[in-house]
Parts: sequence; structure tokens; C-alpha cells
Amino acid sequence: MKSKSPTARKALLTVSGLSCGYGSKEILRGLDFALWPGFFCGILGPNGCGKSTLVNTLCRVNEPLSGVIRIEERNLMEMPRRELASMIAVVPQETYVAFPFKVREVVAMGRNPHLSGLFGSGYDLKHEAVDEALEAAGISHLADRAVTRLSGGERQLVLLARALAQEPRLLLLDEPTANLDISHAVAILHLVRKRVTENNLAVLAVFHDLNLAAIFADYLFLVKNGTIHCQGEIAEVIDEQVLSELYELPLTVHTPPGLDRPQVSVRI
Amino acid sequence: METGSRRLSMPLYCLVLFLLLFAAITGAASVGAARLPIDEVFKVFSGLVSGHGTETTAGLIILDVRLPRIVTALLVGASLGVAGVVFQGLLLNPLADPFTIGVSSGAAFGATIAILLSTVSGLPAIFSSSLLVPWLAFAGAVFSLIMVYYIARNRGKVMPESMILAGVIVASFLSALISFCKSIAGEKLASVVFWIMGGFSGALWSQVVILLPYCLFCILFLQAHAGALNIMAMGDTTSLQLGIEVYRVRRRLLLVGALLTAAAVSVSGMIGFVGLVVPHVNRLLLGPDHRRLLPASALLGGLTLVAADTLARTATGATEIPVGVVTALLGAPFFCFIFKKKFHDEK
Repeated sequence: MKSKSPTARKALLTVSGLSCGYGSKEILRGLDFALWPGFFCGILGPNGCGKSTLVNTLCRVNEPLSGVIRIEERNLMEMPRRELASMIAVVPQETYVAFPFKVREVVAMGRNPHLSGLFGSGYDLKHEAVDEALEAAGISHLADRAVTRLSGGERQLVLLARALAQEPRLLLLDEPTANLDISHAVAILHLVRKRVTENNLAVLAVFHDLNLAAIFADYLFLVKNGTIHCQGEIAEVIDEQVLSELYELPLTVHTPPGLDRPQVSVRI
Repeated sequence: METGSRRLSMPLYCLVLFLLLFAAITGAASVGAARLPIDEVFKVFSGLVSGHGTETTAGLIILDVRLPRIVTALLVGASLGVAGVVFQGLLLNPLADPFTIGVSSGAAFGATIAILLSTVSGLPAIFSSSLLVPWLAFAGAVFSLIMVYYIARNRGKVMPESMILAGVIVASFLSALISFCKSIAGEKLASVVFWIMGGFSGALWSQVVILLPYCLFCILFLQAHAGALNIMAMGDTTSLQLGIEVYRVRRRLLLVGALLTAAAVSVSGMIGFVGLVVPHVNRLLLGPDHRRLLPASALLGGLTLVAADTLARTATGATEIPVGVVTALLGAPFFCFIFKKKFHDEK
């Protein structure tokens, strides 16, 4: 089941024949897909199917085993890391921070790829993008708090703000809502959705929750058995047969009144 | 390494450290076998600037004997303080200090060899030079650094834990060699033991002129990477995602930090405690920002060793106490006080 390009616009990132994994262990293979500006893509799949590996490969924390990743015609592997980080930002799943940096400092670290000069590493606390990111994430009031003293949900917002301060073209989210309660989860996804629509940001997010994916994403990749099992727009992918097969579990899909997106529940 | 968000003002803290340092230097120039009045000391200091008035007896004592020792202590303290911050930050380990990765054992081994060589008759004059000990100590430190690096490296990457393990392995091997040397040292045993315990009794201007630019360069190099150190404290993955070539930068900073330690150890022996505690005190007072920690630790480290060395050479009259004994005896209770007060309060 393959869908045509969801949009006529030019892809920001294209992946062809990508295999990724660690060392000699191949976890994903034969991946071909694209990500578009102004488009919210989601990845779904059972635990351990390699979703996080894919995210780490796309931001070059892991080297791909084979295949090519291009960002606007340029080979990702040949770009200076600083330049890459000015285009791609990541919101990690793990939010633990060991040192009591202030929230503003952590967010300002997102400016690092934009600093220039021989030793220009670090951060620019006063940059307006830092204030904007704090504001957008709704954590301006936490700016002077130590990040080690925040709750998990607040820390996740800090890391999202850091990614926004990076002013990326592509935002990767690795299960950004895995450890959050529903209100924090929705707050984060709302914010990301807004950036996609208003700032033409390209997004690839790993989802755990089918229903949140169905509400916030435009396009979904289903990963199983080491490859993309199928991909398409919400209506094509949030489908009883497709999902029941993916998770090997009887699932029903229905559209609740007042919502234009389908939702999934377990059929027992 | 937890502290709250309350932090001291950096300019105020540095001003206090500067004033204390000046007081310590003046005091150190004044006390000793010949006690010089403070106004005499100031006269000599101002003579240093104006270029005359330093030919008096007091001038000679201060300039030829005390000042090289004070400057050496200052440089070594600053180096150990800065290297301590860098190693704790890079290895993400609160127990790390400049000696963690074994360079001090290498230096001690080099110094031991040098001391033993000076007893062998019939060798060229260079082997009895007073600079042989620091140079061989430095060579030993660099050699141990190369060993540790070679063991810890894996596919071009150096991971913190493997660096610490490799350091422990190399240090214990070298310690065994040093013990062996001690067992055959004969009458030179006391010199070896005394060197290893650390001190500045042999400080010379000819060392200072090498040490000063060298340490200054290393410290400035590390300071220039303070922002990167902050980001690297967030972990390797985050650093990569924020555009830092973390493996390359870590390798570079470990090497420069170790070379700084090597120089410090080679002129002073193993002075423990400063490189471990100075960074922690500053972290508790100033927070985790390396851009503040590095200069503050250079100042506090320098201050600590100038003061400790002055105590070491005057406290008991005729004989010197090893300065490492002073730093540990006074530093440990002081650190306990701060630790109990600040660390536990804010948990």
C-alpha cells in the first residue's frame, strides 16, 4: 500500500535505500521516504521496531549502514555538524539533565549551531529566539529556575523550547509525550502543530499513542519487521485492518462526533 | 552536583578572590626565615613596577627566593583548579580530578627516575641539573597520558568511563614501578618520598618563564571551550544534536587538560585536593556554568596553594611540611562545612 506524495511541494528531506542500526546489527532496511515543509509526519510501530534508531540516524547521532539521506539535495553525511544542527532539531524522549542549569541557559544552548567564530560554541542568553521559544512553550515564568528541579512535563517543554530556539527547518520528536500526562502531551503537540502550519516547519514525530497521532499528524509511517510496512495520510493508515495487522491485536476505528479525525480503540 | 538556583554574583566573588589573593601574596612575601615588614614588601612590589628600589636585602629575598615560589604556587594552583573543572565536566563524574586519568603517576615516575639518575656518577652534567626533575616528570606525565589514551580509545572515540578505567590501570602499574624504584633508592629514598608528597621548595625563575606562558595558553584554550563544556554536560547525544563534534572536542579538551596537569605536577609533585575540591566549592557557590567556573577555579586554586605553601614553609619553623598535607588537613574540614551547609540544605 503506497501513497503518492501528499503534496506537490518540494521535499525538505529525502531518504533513499536507507539501512540503519548499530555496528553490524541492522534494525531498519530499505527505507524510502520524504519529509515536506509544513507537514506533520508521524511514525507508529510496536516497541523495539527501530523508531528511535531512525530518528537518531536522521540527525546523524548514528551513522547509516547504507543508503543516502539528502536535505535539500545535499548529502546529510557530508555536512558540517554545526550546519546540520542549524537545520534539524531533536526533542528527545529522555529528559534527564544532570546539572542544575537554569531553564534559560538550557534553551539558549539551542543557539549553539548559529554561533560563529573559531570558538563560538555555547550560547547566547539574550538572543530573541530564546525569549520567543520560552514564550511559545509557555515557560517564560520558569526561565530562572534550575532545570533539575522541574517536573518531567516541564522539562519536556524546556527541551522543546530549546529545539525551537534552534530555529530548525525540520523537527524530530522521539516519543515526546511518552512520560507525560494528557494535558502536557496535548500542549506539546499543539505547539508543534502550530509551528507546522504557521512557520512551514517539517516534523517527524515518533508516536506511542495512536489517537494522538491521528489527531495531530498529517501523514503516517507504520514501521514493522525492520521496514516501513505502509505509509499514507491519516484516512488511509488509521484503518481497522491495517492497524490490527500491525499490532496483531483486534482494533476498531471510529470517528467520534465533533471530530474530523478517526480514533482507535481496542476490541475485546 | 546538585545545587539550587541561588548563585553568587560572579564579579563580586572574583573581586573577593582577587583581594584575598593579593593579601596572600603580600603575606607570603613577608613571612619566612627572615621576617620582612609589610611596608618593606610594598616598597619592593612598587619597585618592581618602577624598576628601582629592589636592590636591597629585602628586595633580593623577595625577588630571588620568595616570588618565584609564590608565582609557581599560584600557577600550579590555577592549573589544578582549571584542570579539575575540565575533568569533572568532561568525565561527568564528581570524583574526577586532574589526577584521575593517571598523569600524576607518570610525573612521579619520571621524577623518581630523575632523582635516581642524579646519584649515578659519571653521567654528563645535564643529569645533575636542577631542571632534570621537572623535565623528566613532564615526560613521564606525557608518556602516561599517551598510554591511557591509547588504552581508552575505541574507534576514534574516547568514552569517559574507559578513560577513568585506563587511568586506574596505568596509575597502578606506574605506582608499582615507583615502589620498585624506592626499594633500590637507598639514600635518595627521602628525596623521592618528599618530591611525591609535593612542594615548591625548588621553585626557580627559570621554571616560571616556561610554566607561565604554557599554563596561560592551556587555561585560555580551555576557557574558550567553556560554552562547549556546558553543552557537553547535557550528554553526548544532545551535544551532537546541537552541532558539537563531541568526540573530537572531548579528545582535545582531555589532552589539553592533561598537559596542563602534567606541567603543574612536574614542578610541584602530587598536591592532592586542590583539583578536586576547588571546582566543587565553586560549583556550589556559582552554579554549573563553565564560563564562570573556569576563571573562578583558577583564582581560587591559585589562592589556595599560595596560602597553603606559605603555611607549609612557616608553620613549624625550620622544617617544611609537604604542601599537600596542608591542603588536605585544612581543605577537607572546610569542604565538609560547605558541603553540609549548601549541598544538603538545597536537596
